[in-house]
Amino acid sequence: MSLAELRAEASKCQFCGFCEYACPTYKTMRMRHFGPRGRINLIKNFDGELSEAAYIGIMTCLVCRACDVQCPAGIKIAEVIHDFKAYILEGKIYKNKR
Amino acid sequence: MSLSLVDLRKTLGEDKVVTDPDILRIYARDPASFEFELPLAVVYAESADDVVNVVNYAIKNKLYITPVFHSTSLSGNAATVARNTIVLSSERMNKILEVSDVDWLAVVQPGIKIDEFNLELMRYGLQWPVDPASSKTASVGGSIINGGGGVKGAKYGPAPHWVLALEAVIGTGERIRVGCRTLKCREGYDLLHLFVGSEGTLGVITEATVRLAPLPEAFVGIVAQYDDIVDLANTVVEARRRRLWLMVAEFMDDDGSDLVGLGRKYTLWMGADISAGSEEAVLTRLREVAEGNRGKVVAEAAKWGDFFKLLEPRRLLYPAPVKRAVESYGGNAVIMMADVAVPTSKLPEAMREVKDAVRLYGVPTITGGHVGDGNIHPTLWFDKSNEEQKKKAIKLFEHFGKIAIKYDGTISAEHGIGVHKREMLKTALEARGSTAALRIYKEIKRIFDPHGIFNPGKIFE
Amino acid sequence: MSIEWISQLREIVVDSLEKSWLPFPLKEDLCEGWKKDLQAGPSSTILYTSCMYHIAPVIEKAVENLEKFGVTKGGVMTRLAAVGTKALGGFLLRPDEAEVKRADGIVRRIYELLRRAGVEFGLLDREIYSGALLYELGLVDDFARYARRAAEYFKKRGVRRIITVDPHTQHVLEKIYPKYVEGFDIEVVSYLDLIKPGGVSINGFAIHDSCLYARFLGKYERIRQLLAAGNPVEDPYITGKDTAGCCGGPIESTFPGVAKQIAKTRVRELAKLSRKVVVQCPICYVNLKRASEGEVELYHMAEVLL
Repeated sequence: MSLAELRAEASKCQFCGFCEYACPTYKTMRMRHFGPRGRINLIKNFDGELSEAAYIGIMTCLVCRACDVQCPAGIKIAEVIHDFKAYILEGKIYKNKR
Repeated sequence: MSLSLVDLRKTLGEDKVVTDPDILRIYARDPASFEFELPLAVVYAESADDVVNVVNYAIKNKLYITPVFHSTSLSGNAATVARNTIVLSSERMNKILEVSDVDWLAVVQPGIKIDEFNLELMRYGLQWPVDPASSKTASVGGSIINGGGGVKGAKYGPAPHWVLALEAVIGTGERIRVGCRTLKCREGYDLLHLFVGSEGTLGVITEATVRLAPLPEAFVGIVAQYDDIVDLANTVVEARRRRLWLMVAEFMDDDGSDLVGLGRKYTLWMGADISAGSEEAVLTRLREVAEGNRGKVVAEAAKWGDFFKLLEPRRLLYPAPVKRAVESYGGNAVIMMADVAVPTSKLPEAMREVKDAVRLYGVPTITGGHVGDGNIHPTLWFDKSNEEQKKKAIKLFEHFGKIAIKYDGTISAEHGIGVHKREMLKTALEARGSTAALRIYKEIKRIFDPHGIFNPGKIFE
Repeated sequence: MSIEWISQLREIVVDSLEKSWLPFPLKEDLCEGWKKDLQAGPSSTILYTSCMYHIAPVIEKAVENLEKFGVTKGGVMTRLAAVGTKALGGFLLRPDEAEVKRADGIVRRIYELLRRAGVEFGLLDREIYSGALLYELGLVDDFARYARRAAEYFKKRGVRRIITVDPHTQHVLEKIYPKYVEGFDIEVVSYLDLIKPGGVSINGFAIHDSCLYARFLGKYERIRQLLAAGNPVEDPYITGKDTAGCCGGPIESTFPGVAKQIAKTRVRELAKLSRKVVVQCPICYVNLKRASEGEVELYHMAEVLL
């Protein structure tokens, strides 16, 4: 997905938090940015820069898909986060390296 | 405001205080809020001492505190609405400290999620029967502080019935304990129940002693469908007349049933916890009551597990509008769930008026709820970029409140006032000729929270 | 911030794949020993290990070191290049002999189960890595480049059908290769769908599901079918298809500390059901082992199927 598509998908989030139910990182860390609701909203709010805590929140996603089935809005949460990881690595690694 | 929060970091530890703006934004809101302020910090409390420290810090520095658990409020009471606010998150306080299978109570930290708690209690054959539709993510503490209820309300009632005692930190920085470990507790004023439903305006709860019930020995239930809401409501009325103590009596209107794939009918889910062996006898009575009121029985279950599955479409009352709304309006979708209740006997008339109002305003809405206790949730959705539709939606939302008032009901059965229903609260109190209540609320708040730090803007301005 | 570390990791993996078809500088014949004396004639159907069972114990050691050196925290950035090479270079060439033997045993066991079920297949002259790690980390461009090379490798050998032995390889070949490799039309099947075991050697264990098998590849029911004879202890949440917890593996090389905490959470859940836990993935195995500290005994699926 492109960044615009990722943002559009993330903006469907209604903030209910059902996705946190089975999230292994959320259960372990108990901080919102370590759960799907937090991550999806970090992507929704993304303005071109990501703070360090937000970056760690995103990058610790296991892409285990325990959240997807819980989402009432049908957001493909795991895929959105995986593709967003790819987007920020693209920006931070490849662009700097080439 | 450029407060460095250095002292607070020093007292609590670096990792408990977060001021990163990306993180602040995801703690500023709840599902019901579309406007909010950015907090100064998110603080993760891990103990009552942490909470005391934050409260003292807020007093000293003239800051507000919005206490949150998992921010699932549908009335905006977990959102930050004032500047200079610290969001005090208790999501890390999630331990079960004690379960007694003799006293039928448990002592928990308040940030544990309801389903996390009940999954553990299952091992003891016990339950905490407060089960809002959000139980997967809503906390025990949050449902107490907001007076939450749920599907089993017909028999068990909401959270106020299932909490025995609380430990809380109030706005003087003091730790207090209210209530008792015993079911009977008559020591002076009932401060415990002042906290229940106080929406974080009186203090921060740090421990809850909750009452438990045994898991039912057996359960039977049916699903019936109707062409007319009056017949559906009368089914429940008659079940009560026949002294059938239902554990679950849930419904969904024709638009709602249609949206979740049950066809354009009014759907009733009705079931009772029973002694093993009486399944067939009770099922027969349930069938009789439904069919005697022109209902068509479309499914039956002789076990709680099976009935739980039958209830799945009913649990879509919030998710289905979310899905439909984002399909229609994408990221501009807003869902508002009303939370009115009327005495069960008034339900047919109230429901009819709800349907008329929906038609009149032309805002997409489905209605469902806990017919067993008269609590209905008209759930509407709109496009927030469409000013006209937004205005209409808010008016319709308030209109539901007026219908409830008209039929001797309440504008808020289990979701609280938050920011959305402050005006409706005034209207309701006026209608009862009891505007003095609002003054008393404010005076009570001053006693618990003399510096006015807790959850500003909630319940009243 | 670990972006520097991911950068390092990427260089190691990309460079190593370039040179040796394996993601780390490993001993070249590490993943070949198990084939000794086995029938391995050329065939359009191959049993493909992607080296996963052999790499996993090596990763386990590396991760321990990464954690020690604190790759995810600030402060050691300047030393990272050295740390990375040390952790992923020095140790990795010499994984424990016992672990290599165990990996050999597991793969041979899968080989036998397939043969016994009458499945016809050959072996590759040399195992290569699938590239799954690059994709999973989010290094999509690097992955795509490597995947094209790997697909060519299979094509040159006339491979039409691949039998996989672990979830990461099955997932990346079945679901991801077709998206990034034009014309990739090799059929990809899991050994789980081909074997006909005659029972289970242990009883009353808990199943730790692979997220990929359970939620991405639709194998949740099949795994239960295969393990039913051992009377697994189930729980609607802990071993439920939608809710079963991840082992932490996907972030073991980037956030080893967080990964370990997640694995601990998972071990605690599983221990409520049984002291014996059956896993289906070599990555799950090492992550749970690292966190278990003896709390549970771990078995690979192929080790317990009779």
